[in-house]
Amino acid sequence: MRDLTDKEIIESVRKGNHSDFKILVDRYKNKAFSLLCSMLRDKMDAEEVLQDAFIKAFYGLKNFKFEAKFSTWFYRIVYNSALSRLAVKKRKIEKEMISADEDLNIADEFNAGSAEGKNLSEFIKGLIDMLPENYASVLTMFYLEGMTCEEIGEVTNRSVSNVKILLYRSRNALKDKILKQNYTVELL
Amino acid sequence: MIEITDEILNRYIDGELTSSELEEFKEKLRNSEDAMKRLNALMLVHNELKKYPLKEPSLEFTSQLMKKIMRKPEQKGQKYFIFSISSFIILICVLIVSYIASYIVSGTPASENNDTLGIFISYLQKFVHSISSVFSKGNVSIIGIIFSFVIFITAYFFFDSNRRTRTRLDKL
Repeated sequence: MRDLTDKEIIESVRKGNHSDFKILVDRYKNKAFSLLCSMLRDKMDAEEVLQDAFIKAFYGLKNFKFEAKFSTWFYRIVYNSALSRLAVKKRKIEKEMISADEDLNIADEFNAGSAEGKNLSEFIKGLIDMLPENYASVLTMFYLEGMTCEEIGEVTNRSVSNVKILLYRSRNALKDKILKQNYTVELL
Repeated sequence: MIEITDEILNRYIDGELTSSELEEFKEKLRNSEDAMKRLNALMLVHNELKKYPLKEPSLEFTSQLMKKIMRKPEQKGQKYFIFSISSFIILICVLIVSYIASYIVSGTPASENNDTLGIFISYLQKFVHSISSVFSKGNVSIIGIIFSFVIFITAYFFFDSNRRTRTRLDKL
């Protein structure tokens, strides 16, 4: 049962086998939860939004036409739900979701990041948690979900070049911080 | 001539450089310690990000979600029921209003159209008259049926909500 493709599961759910939706939930919950945590930075919020996203997906399955991959379609629901939650929380989303074309010095976000007493992995994890939502979400989708820039563009409604800019800037910001903290010694 | 910018380093990591760009890039990299240092740092970030662990929701997440999903269709059916009942009531209201309106319009003499206030007063009088005529004689039974129907529907929802509250309390 676990080896069924997304399409087969969706068709089964559409036929009335609602419990089969559990397989999709188990397949995507951790990845989607990671994405939500990187955007919302609150596990309770992330879990609530994830539940809503799965419910929306369940009722939206009858309209799903397989034009895109289920994962892309589902992550779009998750991403948009996270944006709505952020808007509800009255965060300055417009400021943080600005176009990648605009100048942005994300290094400022890392002022609090210190390498003292941390190994490299912990240090990088700490830095990722400090990234603005739009950067963190792109990084999560690229590395954790293994999505291509095209797929991320579809999910976030951005052009591929914008996604790449966000990705490069995130990595560069992390790289600059590492260089500043002399972690490169381990490499050279 | 290729310049080793951060963008080029990122494109190299993602394997997006063309073969000619790649050759030039490698050549330049051999002669630039700074570029090598930056590339190493970027590779470090790239590799660490690849190892970044997935976060997991609570253990009961799936079971709670599936419970919600299995419960929802009942509520959906109830929504359709509410929608059809309210549509029926609205339709009856529209029919009554249009009956009254047609009664008023058909009874208005053309000569009274000169004075706006007069027209308004006569419309008002006719409206009151038509309302009173609706509630007289045989029409009372129709109104009675409609009210009984509304009371019946209200009672249904009242008892249904009571039942659901009791079920919820039992679960607690």
